[in-house]
Amino acid sequence: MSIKLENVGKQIGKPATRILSDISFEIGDGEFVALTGKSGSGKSTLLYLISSLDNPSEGRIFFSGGALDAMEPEELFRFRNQKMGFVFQFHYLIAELSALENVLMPAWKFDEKKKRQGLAESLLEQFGLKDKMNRLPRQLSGGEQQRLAIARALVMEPQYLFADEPTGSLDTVNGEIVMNIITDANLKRKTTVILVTHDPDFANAAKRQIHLSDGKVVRQ
Amino acid sequence: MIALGIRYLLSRKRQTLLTLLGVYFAGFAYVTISGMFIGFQGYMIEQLVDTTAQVHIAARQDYLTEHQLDEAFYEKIVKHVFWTSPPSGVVGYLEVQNPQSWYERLKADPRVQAYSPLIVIPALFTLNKISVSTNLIGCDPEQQAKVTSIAEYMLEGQFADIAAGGNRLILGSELMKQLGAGIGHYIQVTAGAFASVPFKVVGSFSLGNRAIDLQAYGQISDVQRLYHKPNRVTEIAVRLGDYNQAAPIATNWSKISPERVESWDQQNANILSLNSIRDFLRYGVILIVVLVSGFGIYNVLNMTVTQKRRDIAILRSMGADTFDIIALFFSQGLILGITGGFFGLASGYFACRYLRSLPFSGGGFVHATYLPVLVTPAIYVQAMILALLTASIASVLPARAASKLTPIEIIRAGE
Repeated sequence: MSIKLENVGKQIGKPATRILSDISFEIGDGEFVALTGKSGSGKSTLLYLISSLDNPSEGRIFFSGGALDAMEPEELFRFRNQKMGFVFQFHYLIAELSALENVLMPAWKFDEKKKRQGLAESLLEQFGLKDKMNRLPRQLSGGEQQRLAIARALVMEPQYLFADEPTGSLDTVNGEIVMNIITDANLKRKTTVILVTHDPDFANAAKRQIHLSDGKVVRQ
Repeated sequence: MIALGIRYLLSRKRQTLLTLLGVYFAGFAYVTISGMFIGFQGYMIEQLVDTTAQVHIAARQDYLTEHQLDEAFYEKIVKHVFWTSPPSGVVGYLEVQNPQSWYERLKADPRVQAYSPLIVIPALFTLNKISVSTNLIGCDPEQQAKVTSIAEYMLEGQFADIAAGGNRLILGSELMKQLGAGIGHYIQVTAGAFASVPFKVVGSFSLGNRAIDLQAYGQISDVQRLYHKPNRVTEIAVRLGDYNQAAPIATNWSKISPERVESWDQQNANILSLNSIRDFLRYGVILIVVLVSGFGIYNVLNMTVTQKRRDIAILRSMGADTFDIIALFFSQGLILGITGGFFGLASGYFACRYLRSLPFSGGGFVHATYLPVLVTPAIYVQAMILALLTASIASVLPARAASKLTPIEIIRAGE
């Protein structure tokens, strides 16, 4: 199994408020999993824990058998850069960089810009942004910006794609386009996708749903 | 990361320009203020060192203290003497006691470049109905020219013209003016209670220092004869290889001789003490300018960190580590420091060059033709180091603050 969670829990703040408790499940390579639940159920927090952006208060998370908490910081940064792609509700594009430069941003870390240039351009073409690759993010529509953010998440050909409400700020048409791209990444690139959504239609695009309620897995 | 830092700077043109101006003015102010202050100080010291002796050996004369003569009058019979009118006056000698031994010592000392025996006497100079009382200095012009740069400040005639003897004088420009004298005029010179002797004016000099320009020079043997003190000297002027060694050498010589030995800086302590006030002012002005530019950089970067929290979050999620985030913001501060500093220094250099071309009278103290503004690489290196240091200190705090932000804090805040 590719990703394994063992009794993961999370508390935040002082006095401590429990967000997640005793989460254990496994996700296989190439799976498309949707984390669902009501607002405040802890699904986004769980995504951040799995994706190493946050640390669990208890329990452990393993990627291909290796525990995240056992990784050296440098190893974790490399793992995040090379193996993980992120799409958030807000695109978080860098306003000063062009569309193409934004897509190539993850390649800067290990000096892979030249190597990734062709793929970046092909992703932009695939997402209907070829003629806009030199534009700044503010010159693109909301849907285009989110597609750009997905292209950026895929440019390093990650093994895992983490998407937190990627359609949350989009209209229905753009939301569907974005979901198709994510589904495509799972089907064609065999990328393991973990999607957080509260929209049942989009959740149905996933092959498996893990439903959370009050910080606990209630159905999977 | 540096490329992204540059993009950030270019995207906020007005803010960047204002910050650059702050650093620019700091660099400019450092170079010009330092150039002017140090230049003037250096020039003043140069003048003092060149126009007067670097070490001054003179007959010692001290004021009598109340009980200095107790033993001489009462030996040790009386424990304490109560004077109704305590002894007063000067004790000591009017002449250097054993000049020959000094000459031998000075000749043998490798630190000594040249020395010149002098007889300095108070004299009354009279031309027609005008009389001026001032010092007449008797010297060997050849040796005196080696000790001071007086020969370079001649307005008329040559300093060596008094060498031939026969009662010739070189007058300072101020004395010349007060007497209304000119070249070829004969001046009656009276020393002490002796009869006046006519001296011919053969030259004049101007050092720009009124006190010195009121004096007159004559051949040493002529002045000794005028004062009825053949072969006597009242002072010995010494020039050293390194004038910075003057004070310890003078202190050392003072301990081993009955004469009063003083260095140029000991003699001009009052003037030189002004240098510390000037330094204080200089550092004060520079500190204010540096603080202003430093706060400018700090404010801009702090604001950038706040504005770019989302970028920090996404960069972190892409694998950026603490060092990358520090580099992103620190590099902006350094770029501002280097660019602003470079242009400030360049402008400061041209400003100093321009100032150096402006005529300057020396303010009646020093003889200067142009403003003595120092243009030396040391000032520019210091200014650049200061600009980089200011930029680094001002950038490191916002950069560290940015590096401590975790993506989850920003994402959770819904920014």
